[in-house]
Amino acid sequence: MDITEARAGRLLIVALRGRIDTTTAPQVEHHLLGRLSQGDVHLIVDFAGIEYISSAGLRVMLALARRTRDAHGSLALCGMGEAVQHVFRLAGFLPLFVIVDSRDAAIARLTNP
Amino acid sequence: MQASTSLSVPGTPAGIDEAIGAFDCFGRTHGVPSHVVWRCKLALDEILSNIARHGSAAGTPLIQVAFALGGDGVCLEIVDDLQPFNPLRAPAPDTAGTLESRKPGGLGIALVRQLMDDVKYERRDERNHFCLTVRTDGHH
Repeated sequence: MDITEARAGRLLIVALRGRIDTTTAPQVEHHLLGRLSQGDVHLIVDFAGIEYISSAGLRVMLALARRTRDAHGSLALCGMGEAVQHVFRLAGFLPLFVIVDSRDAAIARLTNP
Repeated sequence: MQASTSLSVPGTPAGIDEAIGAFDCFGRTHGVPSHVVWRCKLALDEILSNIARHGSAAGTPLIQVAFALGGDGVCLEIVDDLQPFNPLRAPAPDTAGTLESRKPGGLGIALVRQLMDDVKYERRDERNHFCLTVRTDGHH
């Protein structure tokens, strides 16, 4: 799992590369929840480099959504490929998140909510 | 084309990673379509992690994994020698609640059921056998 970051104003963009599963979910969770507790409460998670996400990864995303809401922050997901979108759909996760196609669309969405 | 491979891995994150890596290699070698590869890797992750959780009280289980590519698709066979344990009987998870009410338990097995074309469990020779198949001609 490779994790890279970029900033756009108050937004922190976290780009993930690889697969989010039992092996890598703890690293993703530690990174994202860590950023949140350090004060980065406006987050974009870019899935463009993600091959697939398993239930271990879905659990992390659920925790991230709750913690972001509790911190009065905002969260958008972007760049999802077909596999990731399919798993989100099957799990009934699509209504729980702001999901847009591109990083630019995510920035626009969180900048002008 | 017919091809198969098998390996034994411990029920640990490293063992699960090894099995998924082995399937990646198998898929590349035999030209398995990418929409089948990710489904198989996700299913391996879900079933093996379930076995690892189930076996943790009795020590680290050893899990036998076999992949076979036939004319119709890919078959994954996963065998452990733990106590009888059929996670496929678990109730369907909540996929319609709010962010607050949602519980993630059971999602993994539900995903496997929906992403694979056939999922079977059998208790045989004092072992748990999981047989998962996915067709190579669908799911585009």
